[in-house]
Amino acid sequence: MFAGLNQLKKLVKLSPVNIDKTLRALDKISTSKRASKIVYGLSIAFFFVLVLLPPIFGIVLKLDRLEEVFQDPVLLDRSRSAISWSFILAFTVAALDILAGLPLAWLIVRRSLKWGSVIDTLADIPFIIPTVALGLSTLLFWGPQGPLGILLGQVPLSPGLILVMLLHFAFSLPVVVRVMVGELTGYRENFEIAAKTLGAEPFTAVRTVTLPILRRGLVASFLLAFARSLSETGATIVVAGSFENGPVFIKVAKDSGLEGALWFVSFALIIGSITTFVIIKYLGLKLRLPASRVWPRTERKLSEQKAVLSRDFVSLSVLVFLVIIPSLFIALPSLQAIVDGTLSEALSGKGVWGAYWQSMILSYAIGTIVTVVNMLMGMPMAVIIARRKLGKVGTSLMDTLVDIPIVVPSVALGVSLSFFWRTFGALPELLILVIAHLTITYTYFVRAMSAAIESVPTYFEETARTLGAKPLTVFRRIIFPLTKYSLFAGAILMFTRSVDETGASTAVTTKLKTVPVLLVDWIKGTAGVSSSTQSLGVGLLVAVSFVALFALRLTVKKEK
Amino acid sequence: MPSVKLVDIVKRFGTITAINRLSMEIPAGEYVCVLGPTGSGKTTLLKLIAGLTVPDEGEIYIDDKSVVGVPAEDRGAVYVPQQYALFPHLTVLQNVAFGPLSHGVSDEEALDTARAMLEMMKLDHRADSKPDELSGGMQQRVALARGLATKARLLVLDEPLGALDARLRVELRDKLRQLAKSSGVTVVHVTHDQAEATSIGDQIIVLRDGRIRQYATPFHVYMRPQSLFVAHFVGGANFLQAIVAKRHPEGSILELHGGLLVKVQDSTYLPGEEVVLVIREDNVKIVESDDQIDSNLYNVVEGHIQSSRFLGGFVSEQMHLVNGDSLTSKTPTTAREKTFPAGKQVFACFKASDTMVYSYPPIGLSRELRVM
Repeated sequence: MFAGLNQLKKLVKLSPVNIDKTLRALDKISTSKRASKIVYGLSIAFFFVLVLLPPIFGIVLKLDRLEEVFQDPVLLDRSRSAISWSFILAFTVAALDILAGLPLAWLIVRRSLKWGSVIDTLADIPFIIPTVALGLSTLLFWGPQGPLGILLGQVPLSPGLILVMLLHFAFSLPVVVRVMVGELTGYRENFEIAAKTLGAEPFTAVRTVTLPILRRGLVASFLLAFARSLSETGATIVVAGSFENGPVFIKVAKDSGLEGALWFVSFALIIGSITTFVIIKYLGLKLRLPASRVWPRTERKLSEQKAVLSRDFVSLSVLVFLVIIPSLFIALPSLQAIVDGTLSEALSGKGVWGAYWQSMILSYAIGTIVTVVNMLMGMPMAVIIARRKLGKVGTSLMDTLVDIPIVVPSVALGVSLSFFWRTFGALPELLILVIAHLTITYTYFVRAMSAAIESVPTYFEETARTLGAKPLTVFRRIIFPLTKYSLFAGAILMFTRSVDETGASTAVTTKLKTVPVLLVDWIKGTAGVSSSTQSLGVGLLVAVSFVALFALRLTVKKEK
Repeated sequence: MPSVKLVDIVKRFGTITAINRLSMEIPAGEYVCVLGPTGSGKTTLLKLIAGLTVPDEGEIYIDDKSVVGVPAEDRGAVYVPQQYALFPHLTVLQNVAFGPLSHGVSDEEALDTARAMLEMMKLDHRADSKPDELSGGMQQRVALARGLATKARLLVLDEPLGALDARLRVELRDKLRQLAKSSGVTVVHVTHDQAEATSIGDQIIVLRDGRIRQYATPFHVYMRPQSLFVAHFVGGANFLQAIVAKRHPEGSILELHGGLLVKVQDSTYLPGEEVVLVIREDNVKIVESDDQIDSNLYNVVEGHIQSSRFLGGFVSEQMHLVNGDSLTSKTPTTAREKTFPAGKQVFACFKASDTMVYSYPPIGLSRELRVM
């Protein structure tokens, strides 16, 4: 009857009587108002004390250091330009993502092609490759040793703005495609069909009916892409060359001890990103799409078979040539490294590889801790949001606040919260690293979970209660089984995000190095490792990530 | 078998008062239908009884014990929503065993109870199916079995037939009542379908704006509606504005628009008072000539046919009376040799004893009758 529970029983090796007793006791406690208040209270406290407030306080505490920047006009200029570039880049990339992602999502969901699901899977690839690997892959693909370089006999794209833009486009496009595929799948075509029977051309029907209805999804995917671009640090450093946006500048400022500038840029990024987020979130929904005017002749042309086919062709080409191939290119040099003997060196753990494996263990350990802690502490928060436990105003406030950790660039977050926690004395670096990762991954889980719980109609809970189930039993036997796939998805998302994270880790630590941080050092040449070692290091990270993901997937499948 | 008692219950949602000083008592073992238009507070009433909502004021008693503050799981009032809420991840058997298990019964005992319930509902052959593999009617029976398996003596059903198509709804109506009666539970059944309420309930509660408008047997509600709204909502009728012209002990004479006079049995209103004359559609007879009509017994009014519709067992005809009023008649098809074409001159007849008279509502007739 309780498959999951039985496993747990075996695992803990408790006698079944004991676990039943424990459950019954907990069940009884769960009925009391005070117990639920304590659980929700703890979850809210965790969110404010460990996730939301430290980065904000950290910045406020350091406000007095800001003037250092204003005394140095050159530094001020550099800081300002880095900040503006961050936002310009994020805006451009998010806009391009929508432009390219929407037709792609359309093609996957609505064109009912035989290989639609293949494209769907392809579009996810950059999602599961750690960004630092994407960075190196992009760098090598467009570099002198890449296919275009060899073909043209010259460097097609050297590190700099364009390469950064291509990189950001590659890792944020899947976000838009994923969200829009979800939206389009859930969309009821009736509206569009009604518009067509009223005489609208297919293109017109989509533009004036479907897109305005789906604008929530459009705004959400724009924001996600925007936040991803604003936040990404490791890969950006790899391909930036002399280009500087916020995160790159913060890394440089930290390495060269320019504390004032460090604070200034972090401060601007935090304030700027939260402001932009709030503006887009609320104004984006009020934004009127040009839905009232119709251009019958142009739109008829755009609805023709020829136009549709060329649109498909263009969006597919963009996906394949600008996203998939540059992302997977790293496989070639990695394979080469396996053949040329670097692999045996890596496995022996000699030289730089000792540090590499240590970093790997560190990254995965942090990922595991963070996943478990956030799942426990984030679950009540997900319930609070999904079931509006704090009333209308309180809940929607919480709903907005929960998004802030993913909106704020992680590197700025790291700078700020590491200062905050260090005011309490010499805390171990590992602890601060864990806290930073908790902050950065928190939103992913709470979002995934609250959406899942929201999709379970309240009448299941209500009926279960009247059938005699205590709140804990309702959760254990109704809510949990109905949402467990989202739970695993949220956990995986959180875990990969943690393993992937470069910005905050860079900002927080001096001695400890997580794998992506170590790899950025390798690639930037500060550690003096060979290109073959770099490729294999990145390749192994990708391989381990794949294995971990696959293993998780298998356990989920088994549960099914 | 529990009885249910509500005393002065008030429930507000923001500025809206969903339940407004409501008191009522349901005797043990009764099948009570709560009937009301959308937004009348029906579902809120159910949730208050089941313990899914807490009242702002007032007391609720189940079996003479105050239950305000008792959580839903300890009330023994099983809630069945319109969608049945069969847990999609559990089999039919597991669904039915859910209640006993939640009450701390051993696995074997719970499954035994569940099997027995399914047998009673003639669903034992579907024990291992998932809910979505069952038809609507079967799902409903599983929901009932699941409720009864908890040994609950009180069921609160929210539109339990609402998700079914019209034909099945009528069929299952009787079965639902039978099952409830044979297991002896007290049932509170919410619906907006007056035919369902009258055919299934021992008693009907007509609800509007969070207040009880009438609480009586279906027969009583239909024959003696307490207000214009109830007359309109349960059964439907013709509503004609009038003024009392004369009053004597055996009845009154009403003056309709255009000076048209009709006899009624009611004699509560004083001459000159504004009233509304109510005649059930099936009490209006339409004839070609007034020769055969006993004008001592019947009011006879001239007019012409405006439209006529065939409703299977009934013919419904709308008449335009000489004074400008409209009148609808519903006649059994078997009692008719033919239907009248539009425009035909005819006579409408109705007995003084078949009329009801209400004082003219201060909020106006159309607002009084509004069902939304």
